[in-house]
Amino acid sequence: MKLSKTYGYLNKELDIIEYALGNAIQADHDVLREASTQLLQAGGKRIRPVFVLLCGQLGNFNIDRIKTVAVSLELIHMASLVHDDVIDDAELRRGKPTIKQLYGNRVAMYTGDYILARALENITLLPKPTAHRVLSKTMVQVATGEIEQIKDKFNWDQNLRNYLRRIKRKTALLIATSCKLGAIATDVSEENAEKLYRYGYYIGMSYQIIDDILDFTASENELGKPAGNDLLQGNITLPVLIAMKDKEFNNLVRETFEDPERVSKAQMANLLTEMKKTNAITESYKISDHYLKKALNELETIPNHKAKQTLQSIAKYIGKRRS
Amino acid sequence: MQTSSMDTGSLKTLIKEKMHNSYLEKYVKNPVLSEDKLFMLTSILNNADLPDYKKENYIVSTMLVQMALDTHDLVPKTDDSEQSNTEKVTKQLSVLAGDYYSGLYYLLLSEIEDIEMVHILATAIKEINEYKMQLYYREIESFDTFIIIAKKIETLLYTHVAEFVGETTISGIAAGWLFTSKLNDETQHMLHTGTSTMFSIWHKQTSSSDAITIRAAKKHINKEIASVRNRLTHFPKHLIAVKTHILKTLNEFPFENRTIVEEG
Repeated sequence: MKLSKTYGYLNKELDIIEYALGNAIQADHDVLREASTQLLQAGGKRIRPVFVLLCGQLGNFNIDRIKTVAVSLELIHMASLVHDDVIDDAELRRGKPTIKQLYGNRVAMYTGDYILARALENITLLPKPTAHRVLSKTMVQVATGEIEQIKDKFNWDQNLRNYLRRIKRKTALLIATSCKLGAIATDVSEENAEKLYRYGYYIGMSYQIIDDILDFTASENELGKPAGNDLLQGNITLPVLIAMKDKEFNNLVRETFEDPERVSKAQMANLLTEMKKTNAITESYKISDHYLKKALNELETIPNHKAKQTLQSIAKYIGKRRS
Repeated sequence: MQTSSMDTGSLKTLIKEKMHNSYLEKYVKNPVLSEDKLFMLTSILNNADLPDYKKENYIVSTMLVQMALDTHDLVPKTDDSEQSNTEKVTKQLSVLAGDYYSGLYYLLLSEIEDIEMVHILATAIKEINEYKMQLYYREIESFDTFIIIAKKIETLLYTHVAEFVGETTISGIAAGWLFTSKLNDETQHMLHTGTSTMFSIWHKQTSSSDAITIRAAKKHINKEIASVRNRLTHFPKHLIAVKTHILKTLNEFPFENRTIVEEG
């Protein structure tokens, strides 16, 4: 089953948000407008708007407020994607040429800055100071997380704590913030908004851990990039950290990456084979499941509602994700 | 020049403290924090009917936006396949540093619950990027149009802030004086080194020689100076300190005097 089927009943509201997203990026400059629209049309899961919508349904639902929050969060996410492609020198995103590839670094920088400015202009329509404090803090932490990720590249001595803090900032915080802002926008009680924030945080942690596992277990076809690509780029993720507890694997990784520029395909294939001999993948799934359980626990005392059931289904779906 | 509670020196320190990140500093050479822009911001806010903490926050957050935009302009236009690892990291961190400073501006204003100012600065960023696209795609018919767009990019943040806090008198002067200062710096640089970031954009689309560009720039500097001087004659009394400072700097600009001599 597709994830989108779990929230198929939200299609009408999601269409409203999609339309508003299109309107939000109607720049005066042709290329700026084209680049932004192309990025929007490339699609994506719109997972942040979904969480905003679902958590917003647990309060006094108001589509205008929810739209404001959902559009801004998705625009912030989009802006970060445009800049990430400059950082990674990426040619393709979701199978299509990146803005950086089509128009160059400078236009990608201007487009990212423009989309982010639109996101901030839009979010100021929400008269909720707490929401702005939460979102702005998250934005700073997300940027800090990305800086840390570059700092930690090829750092074989980092620990589990480094990794968890990194994925918290990279993925979990924006999902947690989507949940909390949806709740704040519709006046969900402070206590429940906090629970929804933690739900989003745990879901985000679990989601990123599974993404990191899939980088080693999924096929090149499924990933759209070679297996083990994260490691090749120097990003040390949970499966590697666990596998490195094995002395032989630890030595092998360090030897393989003595010169990161000269790691061959055969060496990578060997590393992947050796990793699978350790308990790294099983243990990583256990940690992901641990976060999922925590996410589900947070929902227990939330009043019964269709949206609550969907949030539970999403958590279960993420746990079963294998591609 | 003082705001009611802080001088520009303390503000500069405060901005640098906010921006501080030792890892970023190792790789990214921050753009220069413009003394002129800081002076103009403090002047704009000095007499605004706002509490001191707001004035300080407005100044710091506006300068953070400026630094974010300037840092993103440091990202190279193209990726060189021969790029060293350090150059690659510098590029990556320049992108992230700009995003980090943008986040900080929003955070600072959210902490004091000033969402209106978030909106004002976001609108200015949006417009600046629209203008930057025009320059990038060389949609400029003449040197005059080039100057108009360059002036917008250079001064929109400050004119938006001035208008927001009701200091409309100072808004036009802020734009004129800040841009004159920038034009002067770029022209001087061009004269002494044969290069200028600002004029290189213009040179890419015309066959103008350096001498023609410098002449045209001097003409614009004089035009701007004349306009600022004219506006200063009607300047309100409570802004006398600002007027004195601006007049002093105008008298120090070399091109105005030189042109007068030439024309005389």
